[in-house]
Amino acid sequence: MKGKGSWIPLLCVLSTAVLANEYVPLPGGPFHSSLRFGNGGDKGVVAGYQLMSKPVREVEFLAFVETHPQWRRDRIPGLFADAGYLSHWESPLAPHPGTLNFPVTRVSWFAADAYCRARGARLPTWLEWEFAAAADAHQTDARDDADRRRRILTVGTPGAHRAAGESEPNVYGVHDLHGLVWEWPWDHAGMMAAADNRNVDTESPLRYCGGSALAFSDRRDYAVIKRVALLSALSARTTLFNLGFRCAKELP
Amino acid sequence: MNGCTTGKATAEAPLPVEQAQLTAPPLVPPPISRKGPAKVVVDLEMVEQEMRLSDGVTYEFWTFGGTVPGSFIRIREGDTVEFHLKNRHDSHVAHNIDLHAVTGTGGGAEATFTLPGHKTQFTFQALNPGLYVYHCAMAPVGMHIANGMYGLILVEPEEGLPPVDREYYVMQGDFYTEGDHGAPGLQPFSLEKAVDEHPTYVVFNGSEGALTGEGALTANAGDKVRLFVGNGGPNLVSSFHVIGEIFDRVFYEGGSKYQENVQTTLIPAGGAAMVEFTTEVPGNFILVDHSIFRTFNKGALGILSVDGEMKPEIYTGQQFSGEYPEAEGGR
Repeated sequence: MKGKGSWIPLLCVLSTAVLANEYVPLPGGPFHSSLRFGNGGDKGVVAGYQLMSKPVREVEFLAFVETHPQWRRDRIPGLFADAGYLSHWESPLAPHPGTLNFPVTRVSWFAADAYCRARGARLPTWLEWEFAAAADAHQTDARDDADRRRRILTVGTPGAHRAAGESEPNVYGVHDLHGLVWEWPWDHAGMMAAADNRNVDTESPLRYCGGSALAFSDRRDYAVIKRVALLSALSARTTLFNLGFRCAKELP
Repeated sequence: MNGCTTGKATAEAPLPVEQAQLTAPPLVPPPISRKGPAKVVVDLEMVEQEMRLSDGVTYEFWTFGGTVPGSFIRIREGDTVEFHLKNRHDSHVAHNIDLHAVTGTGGGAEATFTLPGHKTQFTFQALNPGLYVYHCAMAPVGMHIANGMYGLILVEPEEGLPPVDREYYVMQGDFYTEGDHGAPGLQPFSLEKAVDEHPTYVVFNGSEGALTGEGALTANAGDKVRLFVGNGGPNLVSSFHVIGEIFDRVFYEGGSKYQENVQTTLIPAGGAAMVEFTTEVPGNFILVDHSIFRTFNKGALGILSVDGEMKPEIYTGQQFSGEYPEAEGGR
């Protein structure tokens, strides 16, 4: 299946990436999104960027709320997060000791956005997320691999997020884009809206049964369809037990 | 109110409010006895959970009410239905509901985009009587239906349905698993098989054997039986047949007209039929999809077990079994 030689570089990546949540560079390039954008932006070019190798962990988010107490669950205004915000923690400054290295979940877009900005970063756009998530351990765009399609469609089922996640990194050194938690993109609110959409009938194509097939340029990429259907239902204050985030920033 | 004319006062009187009694298959809520419309509150929760698909085989079902098919909803023509839809906190995707009994955008789907741990609400008036399918219409819709998100809602006509002795809820569905039929363990959904419309399982009421053994439907000889039969699909059209019975009446496609003396009735994916018959003689009567490989190789088989006295004038059972002499000068 795999050439022997491929293990050596992989192990090198693993040994560094597992220790800390580092940013890894992604070169960008021409990219065909599985989503259909009204302005033709689905066949565009993604500029180079950096992305966190793993989703932000509970221990990292704890450090953030300790230094930015306005984002504690007992102080955050209801405008910025619903009642589920960090509700699984034992107290406002105490995640469960056993899950410190799990991806943080039950965070709103506002909180995720604030976290990234406090770290000199930002949330990745959907296209940046999708660009990174198209890669597997061997190629930058593995979306036509039928076995992989099967695998990433069946992961992300209930309970998957409870694992700490130590999956093989992709060619860029990014872990766990599939199979652990859903992740906030920076532009979640606009990802389904066309740039110039005057037809109210197609304003929210995902919400209707027949229209749903029209919003995707790759109608077999169910892993992406499933994810986008969920993301497009979110409002910026929503929190979910299986929704986390990671940050991105520009190339140095 | 006192100043109003009698007719107007009646028209504007607030509707009586009642909570819909929902049932898990194969049971059906009791007939509606009231003679006027009501405001009916329906509370339905969407649950994703691993359940049995066949012996030794499980599947991560997505459900309305924790069962496949989902809870049976029974209302009356003219009722105003306040629909409350909840998506359980441990669901991993958003869901909604499209009820074919609804006149309005998306059949309710556009009003019920419901995230995990959230609830939505909308209200509709049941304008047309009939037996209707409901299903999840969230993208990717085929996958939500293939995972079991469908059920039936009955809108009784104003005059009600004629009384019968037994009513049951049966719904066919096709399932697509990575492993072959019978491959053990938790079986993931196969997108390839679903797109190609090659199901691994075709079953009644969500699992192979759901309507056999302990789960068999029961009746006594002489009972009038009404089956509310739906087909969730997502792909196959059912050739619904009960071996050894003739349907006295079939309200085909769930509508108001009936055909009489029917052997096999076609039930489209996303459609339903009401079938009525009288059980004259005892025995095991087998519910099948008469597209028959589905019955013998994919699981589409249920049993109606009828108790009672033999009636040899209608059916004798076997009267003779033996050899017969080869014809003179035969081959």
